[in-house]
Amino acid sequence: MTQKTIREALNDALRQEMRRDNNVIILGEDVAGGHGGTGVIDAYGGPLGVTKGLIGEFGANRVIDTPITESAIMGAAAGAAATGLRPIAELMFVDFMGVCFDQIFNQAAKFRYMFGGKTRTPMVIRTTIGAGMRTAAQHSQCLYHMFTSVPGLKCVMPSNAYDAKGLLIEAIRDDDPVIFFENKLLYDHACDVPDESYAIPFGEANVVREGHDITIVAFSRMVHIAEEAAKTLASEGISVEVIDPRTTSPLDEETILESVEKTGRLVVVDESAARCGMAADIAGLVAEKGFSSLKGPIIQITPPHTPVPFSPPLEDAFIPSAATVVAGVHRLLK
Amino acid sequence: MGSDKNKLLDAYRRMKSIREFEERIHVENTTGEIPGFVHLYAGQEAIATAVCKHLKDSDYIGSTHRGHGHSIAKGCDINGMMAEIYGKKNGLCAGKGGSMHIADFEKGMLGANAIVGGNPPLVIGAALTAKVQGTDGVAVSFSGDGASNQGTTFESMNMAVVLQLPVVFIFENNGYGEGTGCDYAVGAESIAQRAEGFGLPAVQVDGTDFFAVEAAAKEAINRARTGQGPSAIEAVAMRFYGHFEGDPQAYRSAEELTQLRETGDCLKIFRDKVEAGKHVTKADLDQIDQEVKSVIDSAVKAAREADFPTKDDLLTDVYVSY
Amino acid sequence: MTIKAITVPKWGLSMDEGELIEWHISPGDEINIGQEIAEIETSKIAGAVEAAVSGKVRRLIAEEGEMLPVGALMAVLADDTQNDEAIDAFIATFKVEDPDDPALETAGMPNILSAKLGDMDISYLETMPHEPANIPDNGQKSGEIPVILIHGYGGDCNNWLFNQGKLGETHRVIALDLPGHGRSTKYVKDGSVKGLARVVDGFLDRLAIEKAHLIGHSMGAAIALQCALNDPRRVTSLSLICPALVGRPVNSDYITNFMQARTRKQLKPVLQQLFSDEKLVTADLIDDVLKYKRLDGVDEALKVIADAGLTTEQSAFNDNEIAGLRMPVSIIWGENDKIISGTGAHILTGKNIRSHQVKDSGHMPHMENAGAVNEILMENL
Repeated sequence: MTQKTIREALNDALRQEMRRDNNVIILGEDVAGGHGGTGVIDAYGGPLGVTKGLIGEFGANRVIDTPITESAIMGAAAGAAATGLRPIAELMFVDFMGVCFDQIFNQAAKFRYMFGGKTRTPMVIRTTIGAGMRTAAQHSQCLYHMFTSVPGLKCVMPSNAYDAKGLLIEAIRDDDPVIFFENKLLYDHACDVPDESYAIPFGEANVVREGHDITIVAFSRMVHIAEEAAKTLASEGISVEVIDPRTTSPLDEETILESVEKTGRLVVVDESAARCGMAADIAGLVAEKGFSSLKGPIIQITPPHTPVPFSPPLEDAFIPSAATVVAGVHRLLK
Repeated sequence: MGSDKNKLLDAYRRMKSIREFEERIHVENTTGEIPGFVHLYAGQEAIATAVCKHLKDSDYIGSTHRGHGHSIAKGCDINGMMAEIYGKKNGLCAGKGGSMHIADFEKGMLGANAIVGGNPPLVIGAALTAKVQGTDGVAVSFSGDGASNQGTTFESMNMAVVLQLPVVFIFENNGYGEGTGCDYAVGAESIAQRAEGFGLPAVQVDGTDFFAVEAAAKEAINRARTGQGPSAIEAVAMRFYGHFEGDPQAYRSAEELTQLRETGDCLKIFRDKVEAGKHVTKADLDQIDQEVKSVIDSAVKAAREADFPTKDDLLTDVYVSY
Repeated sequence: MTIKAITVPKWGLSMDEGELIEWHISPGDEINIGQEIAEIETSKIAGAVEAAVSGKVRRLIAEEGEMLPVGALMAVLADDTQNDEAIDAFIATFKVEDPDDPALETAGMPNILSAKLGDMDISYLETMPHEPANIPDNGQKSGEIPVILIHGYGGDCNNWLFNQGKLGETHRVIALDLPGHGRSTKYVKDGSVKGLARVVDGFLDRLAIEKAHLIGHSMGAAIALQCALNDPRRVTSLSLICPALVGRPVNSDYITNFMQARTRKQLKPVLQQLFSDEKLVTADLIDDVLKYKRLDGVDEALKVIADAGLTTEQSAFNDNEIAGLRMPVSIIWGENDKIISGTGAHILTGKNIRSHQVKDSGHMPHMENAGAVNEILMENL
């Protein structure tokens, strides 16, 4: 099998789905880049290179460079989806949701319910998340917890290249609006990825590592932090089960609850938010439905309740690390 | 000439249906049987009717919170609309949308939209579908003078020009955005003039004159349909009622309202014009008045008698699959 | 006697490490080649390590519970002429060979290749015998006829991970992926056993293999048998492991459930039916099968094959047909098979036909009790 990075796996998924279905289009800022300039078209191929080369194969009618106009991009994607296309709208950074939130959570998310089940809105919003690139408060957030709380949206956050391809294909084929969160620091992360197309169903968590002492639920890049912590803990004789839910909406509650039933201890590692984030959500779930199996408090490992800082030592302290996870587990076991 | 007559009678029937629908809701709303907010379109009937006259079911429109008129003009079922407004299970949106979210995709009605400035981005999306799929479809956005100030509207006009989308932006200037006059809130000289600044052809027309709107809409829609890009039309026509039903309208003088009914009623203006012509008689129009009245009567009766959704309906249709 | 190393074996392409579960030997024991000396569990499956060398055990290096990379030193053998210092020096200088080192690929390491049959790509895993001198010339030299391994429904060439190495010591071995499976084209035109046998015949033609030993498992055994009936001269020997459509009915619930399983939770109990010891179904094994099942076209392919009579009595082979075969035929049944079970094990007679019942095995004896099965397979070559 071929080793591919997440960037390559996503490009694979986009290309294969665009070949399969002419109604699949891409629109966003610099998804090709270069229009109206004195240089070449496809100068960017997506701000982080994911859509590179697609305009060459599919043309400007299906790989659409837009102005910097997030509301129009999201709204156009929703309107196009409701009328027969399967648009993939690219939003450079999730932070920019601030300027187009209405089109996503009041429009796309609500259509089906508000219109009595008569519509389908098969759109995908691809966006980037995550701190660690020294890009400060307006280019580093995760925010998936906010979208997870909106009924009508599906939220997907792959942690590896295999999942990235399969989940993106599933997202494109799905008939509901899907927000696809790509962690900027994971784009070069590689693993075995089939060349063929495949779809991974939403709502099935991946058990990344089996264990029996502690359950760690982690999202996106935090899955790797959790795995690193699990390795350290294994050398201390502590067996950790790492669960990557892959999608927060729908959420595979069963796998989490079954794991906690086995281990009796839960740590949630989440980069999205200290308050009302996914850590709080999972903690709430287990506190309510898995209380009797808990042998200790639920530990939430999140960034502090601050914006993402710029200065490297501050940002490093902001992001949950394997050491903080290990310390959290020690605290729980004490 | 027979076809001209029929077209005129059709237009009148549509406009009258909207007027009767709105007048009746104005009355029924006081019974307390209609849940939530209703925003009435009375006074602006000529605009929706004259624009939608040029559209097919496969063309799309996006509407506003004041959307009953657009829905009727685009061909939505009046009984389904009324049931929806009453929150009934047999409503066009199964009772889950209400007055502000009436939609019927089969008729090309992309939904009334309760967010001011909410529909223009969606409508350019519908136009994008037509462009990508290579059909001759057209999408029309109805916005008020209030929405004309929204960033989403500006973004949509710009993107429509950049991508040369088959779309028409109709700005219905009814004098007020909620309780604030358009003269105060629109910084430009006119909405049309500002739209022109985005690089699309734009005209201002008298929205009480069905024929003026019809001519402007014909040109703009034809432009879109033949791949010549977007246009904008500002149609001026005051609304008869408040922003919402129950609005005391303290921001309007009594004289304005009285005068409006006398000189700014698009239905009267239409009647005067066609009755002066050869094809249509007063009797023809009076007969339509009677027919429309009975249609609305029975719609109200049916809506009142219809069943509400059940508790089970609460959880359905959030997603296609989950 | 020189100092010899016992190292962690590589079972299949994807194995890069394994956990030592249990030693079966102690320092001082004399061991023989082929003796089961330890139990190793990979993320895919657990299995017995067979000694590849003989001699006296001087040291056990690996500890039970330890995770070891492929090629890691497990134990050291030497006779008493070697003193402890020599043993220490051997251990100190021992280097783990990189299993992905291309230099090793010529000697027994599998190559993934692909053959084009019309609009179909048939992928296969090929190994050449360790001794270069044994490499047959187009597989035609007497006694040097290649071995073709044909997996069952929903399987792939990796099902032979415990067998290909052993058979490969003396023979060129080709484990193919049937259409709709593994890395081969997922589109299946004719999913019947006859249709798939035509694909195998075409595959052998394409590789210019005139004669072959055919070893098949389950549906793959039925295909091998069909090939033998199609062209008996081509098939030098036939080994049928838990063959479908030979005397015993196929559990059609298994086929339906396997087709329909979408999630780990749905698939696990289905896969557990394959084995006598359900614990062999690890999370990674389930994930691998799920990864296969998610590929576009697999659902359709599995359905085309299932619908083409895999479980129907009408498509079963006639005992007389089998009895009429002239080449050596070996039939291997799992003692505790839940997929193809019944009492038809010994009904087949013929002086060239031998039936075997393998202990501690379900439907996958070649994985669960690879040592015993390999012995039977070698015997029939």
